[in-house]
Amino acid sequence: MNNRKILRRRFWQTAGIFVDNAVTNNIVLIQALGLCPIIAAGTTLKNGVALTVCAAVILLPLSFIVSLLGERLPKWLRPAVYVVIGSLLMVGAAYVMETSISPELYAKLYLFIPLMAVNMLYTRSGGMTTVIYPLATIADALGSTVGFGIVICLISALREITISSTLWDVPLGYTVSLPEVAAPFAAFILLGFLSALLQWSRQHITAYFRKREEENA
Amino acid sequence: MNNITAPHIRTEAASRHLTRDVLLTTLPLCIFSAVTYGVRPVLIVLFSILSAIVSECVCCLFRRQSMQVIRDGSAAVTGALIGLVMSPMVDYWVPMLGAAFAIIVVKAPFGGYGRNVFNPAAAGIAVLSYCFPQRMFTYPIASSMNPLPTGMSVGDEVVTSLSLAAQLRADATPSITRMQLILGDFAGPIGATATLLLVACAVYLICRGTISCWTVVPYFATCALVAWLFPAAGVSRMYGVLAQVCAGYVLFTGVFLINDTVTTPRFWFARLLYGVSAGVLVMLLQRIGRVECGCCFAILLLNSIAPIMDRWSWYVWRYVTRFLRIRQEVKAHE
Repeated sequence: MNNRKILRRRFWQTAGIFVDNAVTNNIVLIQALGLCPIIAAGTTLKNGVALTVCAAVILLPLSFIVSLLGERLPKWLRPAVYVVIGSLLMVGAAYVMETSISPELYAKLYLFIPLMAVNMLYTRSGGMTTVIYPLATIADALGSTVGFGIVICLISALREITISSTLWDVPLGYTVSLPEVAAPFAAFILLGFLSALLQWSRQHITAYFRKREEENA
Repeated sequence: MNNITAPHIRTEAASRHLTRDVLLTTLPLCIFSAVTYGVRPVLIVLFSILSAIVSECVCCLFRRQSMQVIRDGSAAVTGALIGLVMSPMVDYWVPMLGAAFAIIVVKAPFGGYGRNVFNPAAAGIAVLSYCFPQRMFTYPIASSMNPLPTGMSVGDEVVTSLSLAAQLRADATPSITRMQLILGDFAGPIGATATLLLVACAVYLICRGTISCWTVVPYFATCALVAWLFPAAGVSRMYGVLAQVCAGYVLFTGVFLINDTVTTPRFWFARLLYGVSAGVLVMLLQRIGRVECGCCFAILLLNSIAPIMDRWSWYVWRYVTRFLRIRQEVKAHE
């Protein structure tokens, strides 16, 4: 009975961390990280999905390794080690993308993968120092990836629809096109509106998860 | 009723009086354009105003606010200013889009009139000039067809020309005489060519207290100084000053855009600073910017630092006066 209660609490705690990173403390909209790839490369849904996959490939193994290393490393060494591991993963992801997925996509995005990786590592190297248990770290990384993915996919889909009236290269059947939306200012405005929307709804989401965690405490 | 007035103005009547003055001054500009080009420019301005007011109503609905807000007239002013910088042969949907953008994206999310950080009209013009430079900066020659057709879009039958600003940017020698410059008899935006009328509008607004001479005078002085120091190629120095200050948007910006009471500093010293920096930036962007109307970008840049300007210049002024007073007291003591 007691065991089940602890498990349930763990579940809500982990879910809370996931939702906190994915939605209420969104890496892009609230922490303003990873903006550059979204603004410059998030012009088609394909780019958006590719960048999300890259983020997942880099972040998930990294956070797992980091949670295993845990407190064994001295504090001053941690950021350096994380950055080295992250860069190695990034090089691997870029290589796989170029050779076996799509060289054209890589040619479009090669500049933004390192930018995104470094941006993501920024949060990781700071946040990982207070890790409690591996599951929490995974939830944290997954949440960040999902949060980044939701925002970049939403923005790139909206921009693709307005730029070329296609979605995932499939024509939508009308020909209203506004190529100027590819300019950075449109992405900034969209990000601003999404951020405002999130600020408006975040207190309700946070309150719900805090309540569930307290109920099971 | 307290919630519908702007915070920088004490009563609702005062804010209405400000916007009514500006709307009144746009009237002669419209009439001037109507005499030259027919009804089309008036329709452009009216459609722009309509679009701004409808957008404001939509935003009111969204924020569950009373529709009475539109009675302060600020939306109408934004729409009118956007309509006035359009080319007389632009399609009607272009200024409507700009006005809707100005209200929905730049004004309403910040909390409406009195709380907006950026000048909505300048932002609307900036977006339009970035997105549709071809449509915005093609001007009909007044004598080629009078009046312009009032249909949705004007075709190829109208003879077009580059504006004076574009000619100066391209280092071409403009063929417009000084008299034509002063009378406003050259191709250009609807409300930005009538030099004499614009000067009269500025004088009227200063006399009414709607705009402050602490911004306007330093702005024009700086513009003239910059134009005199760095003359355009192929023209005489005096003509260069006249042409660059009257060309297109510089004069219009000085009379309308930099005097928006919400986004300019309040303190006189900050206003002076604002005017001078606006003059330098406007002339710079006019010369080297990507699009012809660099003015609105200059205004947007300055809007973002206007509150800081206000605070810092107030501090500086306070310290200067305190220092002077102490020195005076010390002298009196001695």
